[in-house]
Parts: sequence; C-alpha cells; structure tokens
Amino acid sequence: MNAARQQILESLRRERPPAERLPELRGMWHRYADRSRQFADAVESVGGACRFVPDLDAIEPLAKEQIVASGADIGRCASAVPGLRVGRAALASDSPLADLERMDWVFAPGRFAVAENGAVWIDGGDLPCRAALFLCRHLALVVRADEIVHNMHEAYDRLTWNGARGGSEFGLFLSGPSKTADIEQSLVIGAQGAKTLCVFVLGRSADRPS
Amino acid sequence: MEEDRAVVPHARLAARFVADADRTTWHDAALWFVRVKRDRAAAHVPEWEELRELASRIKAHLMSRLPEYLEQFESNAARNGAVVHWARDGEEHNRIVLEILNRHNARRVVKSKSMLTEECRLNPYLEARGIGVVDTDLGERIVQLRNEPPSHIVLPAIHLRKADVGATFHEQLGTPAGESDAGRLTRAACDHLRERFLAADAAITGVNFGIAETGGIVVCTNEGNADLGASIPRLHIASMGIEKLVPRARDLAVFTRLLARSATGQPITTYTSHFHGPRAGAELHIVLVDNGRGSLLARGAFRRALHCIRCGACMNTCPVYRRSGGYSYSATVPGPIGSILAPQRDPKAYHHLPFACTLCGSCTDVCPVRIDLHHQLLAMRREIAAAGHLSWSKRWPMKIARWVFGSPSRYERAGRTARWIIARLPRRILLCRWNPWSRQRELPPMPSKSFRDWYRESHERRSPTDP
Ligand code: SF4
Repeated sequence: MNAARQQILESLRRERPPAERLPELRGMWHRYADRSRQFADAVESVGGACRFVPDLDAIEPLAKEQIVASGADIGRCASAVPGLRVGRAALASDSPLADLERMDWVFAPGRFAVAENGAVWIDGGDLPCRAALFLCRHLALVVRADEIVHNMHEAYDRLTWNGARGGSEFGLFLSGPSKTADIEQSLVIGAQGAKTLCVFVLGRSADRPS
Repeated sequence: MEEDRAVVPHARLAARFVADADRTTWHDAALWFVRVKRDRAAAHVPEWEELRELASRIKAHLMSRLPEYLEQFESNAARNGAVVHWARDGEEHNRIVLEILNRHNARRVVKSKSMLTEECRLNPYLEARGIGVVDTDLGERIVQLRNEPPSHIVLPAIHLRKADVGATFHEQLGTPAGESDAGRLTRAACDHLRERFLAADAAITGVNFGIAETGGIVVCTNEGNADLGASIPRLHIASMGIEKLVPRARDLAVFTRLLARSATGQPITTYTSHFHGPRAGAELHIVLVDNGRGSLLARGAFRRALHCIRCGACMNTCPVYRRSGGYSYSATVPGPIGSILAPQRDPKAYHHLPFACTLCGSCTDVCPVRIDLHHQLLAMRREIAAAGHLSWSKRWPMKIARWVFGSPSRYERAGRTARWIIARLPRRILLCRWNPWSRQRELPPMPSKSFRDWYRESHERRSPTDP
C-alpha cells in the first residue's frame, strides 16, 4: 500500500503540469433584496415548505397542527431543538435503530440558511444521532431569519472545520425533502430520506421589508 | 482492468438503439428537457460565467500541485480519524475494499452512486467473493436488478420507460403486474432499500469533493441514500478519484453552485454532506484511486478532462448521445467526456468514439468547469489517426480527399467527372449498401455546372485562375 502511495505521488511529481495560481474568490456575488423571501421561495421550489414565525413559542401550535394533519403518532415525534418541546419521543446517541426508523417527525436546529438555494446547514454536533435526520418520515428545521446568508460563498465563509479538535465530524446543507426522478424523469418528492421538509424561520430578517 | 464489456463500434450499437423510434424520440426529448432546466438554473445566477472560469482555474491550480494537495488531504483526513488508502488501479482498489470488509466481517454492503466503483468493476469483484452489494441510488438499483450497467452518469436508468421498470419490479420486488406509476414504483423501491440499509454491515459511497485543507469529503445526493448508508452501519468506505480534491473548503462554494444546476437544474443537491472523520464508534476509510488519472495528467492536450465533476451536462446536450443512448459508447462514462476518457486509456478499442460526434461544440458551452471538450475530441481523432487505429473506410476516403482537394485542377476535374457520372448512374448503384452516407439520406440533384464554371461565365473579363 505504501508502495502504491509512493508510486502515485512520484509519477504525479514527474508529470506536473505548468504552475497555475490559485484564484482569489472575491467576486461580486449576487445578493438579494429580501433574503427571507428569497429563501422561502427557494425552499418551496425544491419541494419543501417554509413558515415565518415570530419565536419558538409560535412553532408549537403549528407543529402540533402539522403532526395531526400528517396522521403521525405524537409518541413518534421528537425535537432536538433547544427550547422546543414537540412530541413525546426522545433522541439519544444510543437510540435503537428500530425506534429511529419508526420516527414520524423530527425537529432539528439549523445553524444558518442560504437564500440562493434554500439550503439549511445542519451541524451534526447539534443532534444526538444523525441517522434520525435521514430515517424520519417528516423533517422540520428551525433557523433564525437573521442567520440567512445570501449565497454559498457567504455560507462557506461561516463554516469552520475542526473535526479533530472536538468539532463535529459531520454537517450538511439540506435543501428540500428527498427526491428522485429516476423513473422516466418523473419527479417524485419523498424518496429515501425524509419525505417532507418544513423550515420554520424565526423572527424577521433585518432587510425584510414590511 | 477497467471494462469487461465487449467494445462494439458506436455506430453499430447506436443503430440498435434507434431501431425503436419511439424510445429514441422520448430519450432525446427527456434529456433535452434536463438541458432546458440546466439553462434556466444557470440563467438565475448572474455570475455564472465567472463561476465556470473560477472552477476551471481552481482545478488547473489543483492539478499543478496535486501531489502536495494529496499529501495535505491525507494528513488532515488522518488527523480527523479517517484511514486513507492508496490504489494504483481498479484491482488494487477492489482488493483494499475487500480487505477492509473482511476485517469487519461485513457481508452485506449498501453502496451509493459512485462512477469510480463502476470503473473498477467493484460489484462483480465483491460478489464473486461472497459479499452482497446493493446499489441504493434508485436509478442504479433499477439497472442492478436488470443486470445492466448505468447508461448515464447522473440518470442511470434514463434508457428505460416506466413499463420496463414496472416489469422489473414486478419480477424482483413483487409489485403488482403492470404497475407503471412512478410514485408507487419509487415507494416500493424505497421500502425495499430501507430493509437493506437497516441490515447493512457496511456502506460504500463515492466522493464528489475532497478538501485538502481540512481532510474532509463531500458527498452530494438527492435521495438521501448516501447519508443513510454513512449513518447506519459502523463502517463507511469512501472511494475517491485523486482528481476530486479542491484546495480550500471555500472553493466548494463555486463547485456546489455549479454542480446541481448543471446536472439537473436544481439550485443545489438535496443533501450536500460533509464528513470529517468517522462518527463515534464507527470507522471511515477513504480509498484514493489513480487508475490512469496520473497518466492523463501527463498528456497536455487532454489534461483538462481530469477537471470533470461528473455532472452529465455534456451528455444531456449532446445531439449524438441523446439519440444513440449511453450504451452505444460501451464505456463506464459515455457521451462527450467519455469519448475522451475511454480512447485515452485504450485508443485501439475505443478509436470510434471521438468520431461519434458532430463537433457542434455544445458540450463545451455547457461544461461547468469549461473543459474544451470538442477541441479535445478533434485532437483525439488526430491521435487515433496518427496511431493507425482508423478503419480503412475512414482512412482511404480521407487520403483520396486530401489528394483531390490538394490541387485545384484535380478538384475541378473530379467535380466534372462526378457531375457527369452521378447524373447517369442508376439509384440502385448510387444508394447501394456500400455507400453508408446514403442509408438515411437522398443525394441532392447534381447541378449542371460548378460554381467556378458559373463564375467564369459571368465574370469573363477576369482571369479564370483568379477566383
Ligand atoms: S465534462 Fe463537463 S459537462 Fe461533462 S460531465 Fe464532466 S463536468 Fe459535466
């Protein structure tokens, strides 16, 4: 194996293409007049739902409504959002797979969101077990309006990576519910991961008119 | 080492595909629709061209310092707790994967989409050694159940209609006979795959991007299958081509903005997952694979083919691919980019691919990393001709054409003779089977005189040799 490493690196050194400078990433990236609105539109365009709420307390009745409407069992709903009590199930790092697999609703915190594509950044460290994100039927995310950035450049500028030094080893941009168009290009919303996605946007973004 | 399907000339396989006119028309329209969605998505990003330029320059820089970035990636990945392996070719890759699986006594593997493992023929290798591999991308699962390879790198089952999928699922998954509703078929497949995930001992995923600066890997999917795999079993093996690196995490902003928009017209893939080491109690192995990539880097004219991020846009836009189907290329990666990669590896077997191209340049126009695809296809034709891989039916007409076009008087005489003969020969001979050009075409009516004759007559005072 070490021989392979040596050989690959050596041949790459021998065949090095001419030097090229690494470009700076300072573009005039597109920004939006109303980030929250653009974000909501983007979430809807990728098959998700987006609801503006003033604060966490306002989520509870809406969440209950949605749980009932989806025919879910409150005993199979769990929240990993600090301060948001919805559902009777709990998520733990040692939750049995079988329990997670039966989960109807999971409420999870988003660190920030991206207006251009409706993505929410979820830090694996904010959840006791990440499998719950993908095994549950319905996923709801909570993110603050003033944590919506314009585009992916701003998004990556916010991220720090210190997996080895106690940071979380996993994080993802999630944009909409799982989907596929693999059968004759007909779009089916709800594939292997969560079948629906609802993003609750807390408070008002500073640049949101009206 | 790579392909074990027999390589049949593109034209012959294409003829088989177009024999079903309805299917060809559908295939053409379905892919064009994806292209239209791509156009719409790109138009929403005012700085689109700037992003393409940046992507191209980031990759060019990466390639000029690839060994250093690989070492940086390796040490950062190890610091994150991942185990990094190196494989010179497909076989070595397969051996490494098998060894890891055996060490964990893993017999049931779930695999998300990875063109690299297709290229290495990993599935048959593992299956021959008693390890069951379930492809979990829906499109890949469909073709796996049918014992077929993917026909497109992003849309693996694009060559199939609903009824075909319904028949396969009826046979293999027990869905009702005649079921052709995409929603119900999808649900049946997802339920079936869910069971496989819960029972899996290990997951294999591809890698869309590796980050040198952090040692992380990024996997982009829409269905959620890669994340289910990487979050359920305690073993995650990620197979990664050495060209997949980006220097900085911030470079991903450029690539994630381009990838899904180019591939399917989405603003970003549903799941864009970043792995920096294994989760608690699990293992993450990253297998870095060369398999001919280094030698591609050594070939100046084709080097930029290594920048490819496998978005599939060049296939969706290609007038030949859309009408001939992915299988007509007999290569893991079909379409314009495949027509460079395959003959680059094996010019003798794949000499026909760069000719399955109209040189329209549409692939170059859509490629998110600005690979000069149609220029490379032309250059590849030249290489193949120089290496003597052309068939006589391409070689001789070219030689004759060069001889005729090489001299104005010969050209004029040839024209006069052709006008005279063609006007007199019976159709039976003109449009015979030795004339492949006439298979789908009529000959135009022969003019009575050439342009030169006409010019000479209408500009008599001028010298006839001065056109
Ligand atoms: S060559 Fe360009 S357009 Fe084709 S798949 Fe690769 S990145 Fe996409």
